[in-house]
Amino acid sequence: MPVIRFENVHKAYYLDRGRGSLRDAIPAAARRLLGRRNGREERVLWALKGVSFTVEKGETLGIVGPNGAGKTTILKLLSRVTRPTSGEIEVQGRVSALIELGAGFHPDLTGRENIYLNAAILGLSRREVEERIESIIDFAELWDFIDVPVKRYSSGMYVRLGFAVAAHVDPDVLLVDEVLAVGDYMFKDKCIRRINEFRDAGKSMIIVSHNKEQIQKLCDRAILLHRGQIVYAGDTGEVLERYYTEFAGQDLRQGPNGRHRREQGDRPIEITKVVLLDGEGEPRNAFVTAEPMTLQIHFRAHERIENPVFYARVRNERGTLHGTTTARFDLNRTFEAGEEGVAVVHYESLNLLTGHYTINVGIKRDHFSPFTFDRIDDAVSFSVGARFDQGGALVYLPHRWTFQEPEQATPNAQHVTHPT
Amino acid sequence: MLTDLRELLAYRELLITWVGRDLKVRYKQSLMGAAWAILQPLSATIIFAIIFSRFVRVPTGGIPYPIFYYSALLPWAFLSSSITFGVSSLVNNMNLVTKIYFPREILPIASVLASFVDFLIASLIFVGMMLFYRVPVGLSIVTLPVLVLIQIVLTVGIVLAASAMNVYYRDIRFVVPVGLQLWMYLTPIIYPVTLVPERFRGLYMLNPMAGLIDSYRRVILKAQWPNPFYLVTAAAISLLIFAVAYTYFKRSEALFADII
Repeated sequence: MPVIRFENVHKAYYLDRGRGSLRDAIPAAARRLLGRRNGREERVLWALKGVSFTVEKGETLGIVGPNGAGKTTILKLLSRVTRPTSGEIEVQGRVSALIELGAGFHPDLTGRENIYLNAAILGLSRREVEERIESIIDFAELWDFIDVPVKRYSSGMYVRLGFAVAAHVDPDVLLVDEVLAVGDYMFKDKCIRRINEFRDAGKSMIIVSHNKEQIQKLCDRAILLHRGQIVYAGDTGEVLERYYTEFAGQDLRQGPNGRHRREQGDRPIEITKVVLLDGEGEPRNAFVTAEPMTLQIHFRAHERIENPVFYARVRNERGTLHGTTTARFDLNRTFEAGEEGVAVVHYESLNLLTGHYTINVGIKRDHFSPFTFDRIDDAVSFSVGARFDQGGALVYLPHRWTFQEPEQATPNAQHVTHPT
Repeated sequence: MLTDLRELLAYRELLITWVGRDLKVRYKQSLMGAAWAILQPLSATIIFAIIFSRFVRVPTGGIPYPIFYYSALLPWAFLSSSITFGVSSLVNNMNLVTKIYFPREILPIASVLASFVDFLIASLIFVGMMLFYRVPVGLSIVTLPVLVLIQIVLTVGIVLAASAMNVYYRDIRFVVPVGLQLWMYLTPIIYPVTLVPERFRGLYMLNPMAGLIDSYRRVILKAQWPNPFYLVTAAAISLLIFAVAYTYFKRSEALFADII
């Protein structure tokens, strides 16, 4: 008897409904009453098209796929937040979703007050919360701040509190959605340990993640979702293979954010694929600080191009963090018509801290000219997890500490500042 | 509807916790905190008492103006604050509604219950006023809880309908203050029921608040029993409004998370 059963589920979103005003509603209703058509076709988005799968008791299923594939929609349907347009969904037992930590948190209430609130929302009775409150505070490591209004918490504290409460709900089915992408590594370890405890207790789980290692480690089976349909299902390793080979650098016309491709008919030299690899040459898009990373820009020349300049810019929401071009390395080559190649950037040490980053790539005519043969903004995106608490810093500088005797220290004393 | 009510009962702890949260949030954000629940009807009473006793004479049948108004403004304040806070209760908590499942009616109902707590606090002042004016109280006072119950049913019904509509049409909450004003004039708050001509009385009493306010006044101020016709009409219409509103709410609930 499967614990979760999805059968031929379809989910449509009608984009034009809601968010209206009464002013528009009355003439619209009158029009409908009189039998006149609205003039415009109503926009429909099919988030899921005929999805079917089951999860047995004690099993952990992974759901992977590119953004917009419908993964979160599946979780929302399972947690009854929304209803299917057609198809059947059956779930046995209590469901708890780690979809948004801190649901219901109010900034003016203290951590303790919010624990009671959040726990009640997640389905715990007051007595159950009383029993677990100390354990929750311990898990979150917020003993000193628990009676402070939550609006004063850092985002890390917020997440820890939210996860601590969610971790103490005792569901039969656990839904996890990208929640393991936040927090520092020590906290992530704690989360993963807790999830493993769930597994050992025989609970069933569905995990949605972009992180290959997490899916590999935690899931018994996986399904690959794309544009609302299951493209592949089966053994975790195989599904992940399919995912990375088919989607890691694909969708070039879209890119992860689907924008900014130069839409011009003739591109004398064109980028065909952009792939991110780790130190072992494996496609990956989640890294750890100071790991090596390789960027491959596959291209094809349609005519003879002399010494084009390739560039790659690593960016986050604040702007460009690092930019580099082939010109800097004096990498000059002439490509004949029809020739294919790969421009490779090898980052020896990714000195970035926790966050999400994207890379803009492009091919220019030469170093100084703004004329670009082809470019893709946000060609790939990746996330970085720090191994340690970063304390609000932005980058990692390779370094080490030592102690020295005053005599050993450099004699250039004029550069030394003394505390006054 | 029965299964829905049973599910609501299963979630009663969340409802109570949410009422507590609503109250805490309302008061942490307002300057005067709990005092507001008392000051608002009190200040309206003072204004009305002055205007209508000095400038425009409204016949109150011998009852002192302050209690005449306060006895009606208090239940009215309960209705109006419930609706005003409740209408945006779903939209304000959209992050919850789109992420976690719970019977959505908990949010608007919690608004009503939070306003009810205010109502109880402000009633204490009223009891003080009653003692001050030495208003005699008769056996009919036992009907008071019944009146309050009917009003709760009516209020919850309206808030359910308004909050659900607000999800689809965001400007509903601007219509609300205007609607409430109009409704207040159609209710015997500023004037006694006797001012309404007999031939319109039947139509007038279709307003459930009219029947309720009149009953409140009779029971509290005149130690009389409520007019059975008025009361039964008010009760029936309140129940009808509740039933229709709850059904409408549960039907549209499925789409809230998609639309918000």
